[in-house]
Amino acid sequence: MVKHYPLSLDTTFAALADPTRRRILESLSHRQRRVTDLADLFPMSLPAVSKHLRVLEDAGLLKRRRFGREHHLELDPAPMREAQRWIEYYRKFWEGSLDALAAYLEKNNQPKKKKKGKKP
Amino acid sequence: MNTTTQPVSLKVSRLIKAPRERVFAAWITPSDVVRWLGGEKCQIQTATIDPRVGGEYHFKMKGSDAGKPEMTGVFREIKSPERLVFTWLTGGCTGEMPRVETLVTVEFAAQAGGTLVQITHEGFPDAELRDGHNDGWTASLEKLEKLV
Repeated sequence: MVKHYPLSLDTTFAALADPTRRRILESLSHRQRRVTDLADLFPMSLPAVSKHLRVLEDAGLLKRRRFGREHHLELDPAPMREAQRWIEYYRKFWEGSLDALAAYLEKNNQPKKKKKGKKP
Repeated sequence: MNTTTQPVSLKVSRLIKAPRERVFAAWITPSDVVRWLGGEKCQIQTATIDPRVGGEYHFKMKGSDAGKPEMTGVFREIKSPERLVFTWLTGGCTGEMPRVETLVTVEFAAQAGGTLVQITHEGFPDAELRDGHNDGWTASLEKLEKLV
């Protein structure tokens, strides 16, 4: 059985924080690959690639299927959708905050529009 | 889907028609923060802020969100009036989001007509980054980019 949830955003973020791991996922975004083929795409040793794969698997971002001695890797986009949801949520949060900040400060900052020539 | 190539972070920016010192102050002054942070969706009732490196902030929510967990975090960098870096425990507002410690960097740039505020919110628990060794992250990322 493929291990699925429980999803932890912490784990997803940690896994995605590394550019090599993001590239691995990208290379799997359109097709499955064998571990050995995947390793050929990266200028590092097979054990180094394997280490990254393990992190991605633990985060639920990768599924591994075994065909005899061959290991095939496949992307699981579910945790990424969760990360994407997080990004969208906070984009709105900060945009809303900055709109409110602008409204607050720009109102406060404007010289009072009363009568002219009333300088102290 | 092309999200895999992006780091888990987001940037939001806006020009505010007010002097940089004033805009910066609005981020670390409780009586200001309660007026804008969170926007309309997520209003803050009370704020306590200890604006120094290592100092904490706590925001309590208003109305129906009262009693929800606080928004809270720790300042990692304070460079008035240019830059503010603090941790941000997510899920403080509506409880929709899981509680994850993240990092927010706010940059204030003086521009004609006001101050450009740029927020970078990074969603990963890199311990080094969280604890304030900001350059370490950038440097190691650059190193990795060169290696690959």
